[in-house]
Amino acid sequence: MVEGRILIAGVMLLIFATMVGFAATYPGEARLLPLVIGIPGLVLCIIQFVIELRMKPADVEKVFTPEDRMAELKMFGWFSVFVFGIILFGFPYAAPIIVALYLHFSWGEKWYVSLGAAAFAWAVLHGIFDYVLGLPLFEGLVNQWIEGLVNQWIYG
Amino acid sequence: MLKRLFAVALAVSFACTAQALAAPAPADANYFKGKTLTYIVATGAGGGYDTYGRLIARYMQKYLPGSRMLVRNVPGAGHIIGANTIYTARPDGLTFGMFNTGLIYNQLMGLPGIKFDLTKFSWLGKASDEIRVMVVSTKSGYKSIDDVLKVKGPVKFAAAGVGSAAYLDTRILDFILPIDIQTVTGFDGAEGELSMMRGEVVAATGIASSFDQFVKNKNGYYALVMSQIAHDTLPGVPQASQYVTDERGKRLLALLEALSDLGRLTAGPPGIPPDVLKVLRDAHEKAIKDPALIADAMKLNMPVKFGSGEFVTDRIKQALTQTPETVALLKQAAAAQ
Amino acid sequence: MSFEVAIAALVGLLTSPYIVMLMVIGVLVGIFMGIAPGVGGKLGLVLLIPFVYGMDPLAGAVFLLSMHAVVHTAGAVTSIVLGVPGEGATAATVLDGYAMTKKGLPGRALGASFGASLAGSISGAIFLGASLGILEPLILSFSPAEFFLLAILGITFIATLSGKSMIKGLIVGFFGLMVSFVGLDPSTGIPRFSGDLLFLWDGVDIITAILAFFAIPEMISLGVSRETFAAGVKERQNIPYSQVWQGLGDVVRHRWLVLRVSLLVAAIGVIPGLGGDAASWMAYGHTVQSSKNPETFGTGRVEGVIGAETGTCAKEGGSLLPTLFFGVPGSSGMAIMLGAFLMLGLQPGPAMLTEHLDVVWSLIWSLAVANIMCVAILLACAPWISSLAYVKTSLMVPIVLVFAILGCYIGQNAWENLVLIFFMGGLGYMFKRHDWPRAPFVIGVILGKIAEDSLLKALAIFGIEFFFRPLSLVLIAMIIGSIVFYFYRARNGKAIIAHG
Repeated sequence: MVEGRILIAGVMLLIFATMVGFAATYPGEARLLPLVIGIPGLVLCIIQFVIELRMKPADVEKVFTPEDRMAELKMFGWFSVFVFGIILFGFPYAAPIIVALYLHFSWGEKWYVSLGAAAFAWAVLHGIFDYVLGLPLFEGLVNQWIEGLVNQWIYG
Repeated sequence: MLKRLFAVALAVSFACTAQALAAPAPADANYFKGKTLTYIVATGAGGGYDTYGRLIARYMQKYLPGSRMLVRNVPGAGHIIGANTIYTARPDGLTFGMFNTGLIYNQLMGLPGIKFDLTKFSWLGKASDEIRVMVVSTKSGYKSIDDVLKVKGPVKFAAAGVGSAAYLDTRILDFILPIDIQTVTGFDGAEGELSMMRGEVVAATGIASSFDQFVKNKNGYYALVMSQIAHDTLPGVPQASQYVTDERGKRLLALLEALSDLGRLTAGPPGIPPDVLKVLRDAHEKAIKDPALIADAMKLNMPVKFGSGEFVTDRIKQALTQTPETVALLKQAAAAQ
Repeated sequence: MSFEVAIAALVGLLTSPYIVMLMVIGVLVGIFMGIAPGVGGKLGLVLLIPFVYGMDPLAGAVFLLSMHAVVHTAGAVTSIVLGVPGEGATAATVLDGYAMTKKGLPGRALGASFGASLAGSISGAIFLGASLGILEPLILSFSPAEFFLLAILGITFIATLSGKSMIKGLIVGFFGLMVSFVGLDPSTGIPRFSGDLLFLWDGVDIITAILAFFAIPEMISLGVSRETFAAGVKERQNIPYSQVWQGLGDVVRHRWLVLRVSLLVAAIGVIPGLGGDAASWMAYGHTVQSSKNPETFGTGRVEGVIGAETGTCAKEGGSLLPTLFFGVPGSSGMAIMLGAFLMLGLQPGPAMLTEHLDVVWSLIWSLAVANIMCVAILLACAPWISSLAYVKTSLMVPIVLVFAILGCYIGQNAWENLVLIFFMGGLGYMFKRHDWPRAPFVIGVILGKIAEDSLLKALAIFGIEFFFRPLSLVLIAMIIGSIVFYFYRARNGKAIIAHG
């Protein structure tokens, strides 16, 4: 299991390397500033990565226990559910449902609390954004796909 | 859970189909009763297209009794995302919107990103002309287009971002007029005007109405107009056709002039049933001709000129029917700097 | 500039019940728009314009301006109490404001924020009025060359806000710059780092980036640690007004900072093209740099809140100037305002100075008065607002997550931004976890594009000699001064640390 601090330094290194790589393929003026910023940035990333690798365990300030990591992974799992749930099923439907699920399963809140929060979210989403502001909310990719099928069926 | 969702979806689609097949009566103005329509604007909030779009949406709602019109901003990629969105929307007449005529250039040159074919949109109509002009700053010292044409070296023009319609207009001008235009890109309309006032650049091209304040405040004047039909709105301004002599130039100028004729277009996705489209076009026409809308637009200094859906469909087809030579010329003009 | 006209305009404003009522409504709408995530002033303006059709020009303009003026002031609420910034400018307030909430001082932060906003708006308005005479030469002397150098100056603040590790701060700052280059290249028009992804062609959405780096990591952390927002205070209670008064007192105590920042930012606001977000961050950067103990910023220094908020509000006054006198909007919000002015029958241009000075003064005053009203309302509610910080964390986390995600979507109506927020949120969380500062990223993203754009324009207009223009030389001196100042402090042993 790679330590987080090394991981993040490595990730930044990769990001810069990729961006500089792409930038090098751009013509003339398009690549000027990305390289002027990217190359020094890449160098700094390499330096930081090496620093992290060579750090002695005694110098490391924060230590993460396996329980910490488990909690983090779980939370990330829920975060993914939020984001991708909304992407797939849209704000009006997915959001309140996921709020309720999260509260009940992750925090162990009682059902009436979870559903109450879900109702609140639904009320604000529909009441304020949809009704008052007239801003149509995203219905989700799955719903759009279903509409597309219906579309085809009716109009051929 | 997914299976159940599918079953529900299937049931819903059955119900919809049954309804659609069982009610073949042609649409009339009441077709939209109780329905929510979405007017898509291909730019962010604020700005010319958004203002026109919201105005049109408001008045169309008036002529489609019982309906509710929502305006949705779908900005990005120089109107391409908005146009794509409209093109791929469900052709039930509930979605339509507005985007830049300049996308004609994109389609002609086969530029990346577009998912549409402009000739296939269900055009509702046009709301204005977009007369292309060249504006020269008073600070430059050039009193007229003839002075500008006499300049030996490069003449600096403020232009919008590379690849945008306004930028292409400027590059075409460079190509067809006997001057060397150096475009300084990246200026949003108003910033370009400031740049002219600071004396950094000498001129700019764009839509006549957007320079209204600039000219009124005597910071610049209309030096050239690229349109055959602008006699009444811009009296006394020399026409570009007088200065373009060779054949290739004339062809590109014709394209520019054609674009001037089409402005603030509203379109729906291809395949809207003809009777529904008729209702929409009627509502659009009534909205544009409504005296209250015209009055509101006047206050905003936004000229209004109606053009029917059929007119637009026709002109778009014409504009997109160019010989390969013209397209090659266009690409040449766009690339040269 | 005659005093009678100025005073007459103010009196006219305040003695008309109709206008006062409009201002109150405008303020209330503005407060709402400021607090809702991602909605913001521009959308608010666009939605209000239909209501203004047919109004008397002055009344309509005052109404819209009142709404617009208070959006930033109210936006600080979510930044401070929830750590969720509503827009690019208010992200600076999050840094110290939210930290104060975590220390159990939300009331003080709110008090300081409102007081600073008020002071900033009023100073901005005064600056407006005072500079009416020298306007034209002032605005016209700033060209892309100066914008570029101003952007560079702002970028040097990356170092100041880098926290304990300069290297990490620079990497993050440069990362921000690289992210700002995503999109269509201004010189050739080809898409950089975005290929076929149309939604990136105009660049990474700033709101998405900021929410991803600030709001998301905070919520994830809370989800992991299950701590209450404000650790150390167990019962939910109404914060006594004393905390809020203390915050207001802080603003008075730091009046010179307020003054300096107001002047700096109002001047920047006057220059169209630099943008509002940049001005706020320059204000924050200046605050940190000029303080005696820069090392404690980011942990809950009230000056951080004051500097950021003064900056955010003072620029509004400045950006009204070019809008009224040149018809050139000073900020994107002003662009919409301009359309509204035209619609109402006000013709922006030099004539405003000579023929309609009374209208100009009324507008200037309404900026100040609207903010006074707003602050009064918010102060009255401050204890209740600050008790939001004590709402059960469990309830807060999912709700804030949903609205942060919504905030990303609303601006461009693009679901792809949601995918972006997922990855950037993850990255932001890792930054937080391992003490990589996040503030430099925001500076990079905001200023990178301006810098590149201006550089290209400056080169096209002036050639490489643009460095030698008088105003450019002044700015170069300031940049060098800023860097030298930084190293001088470092060498003198005071570690310049600011957590971000």
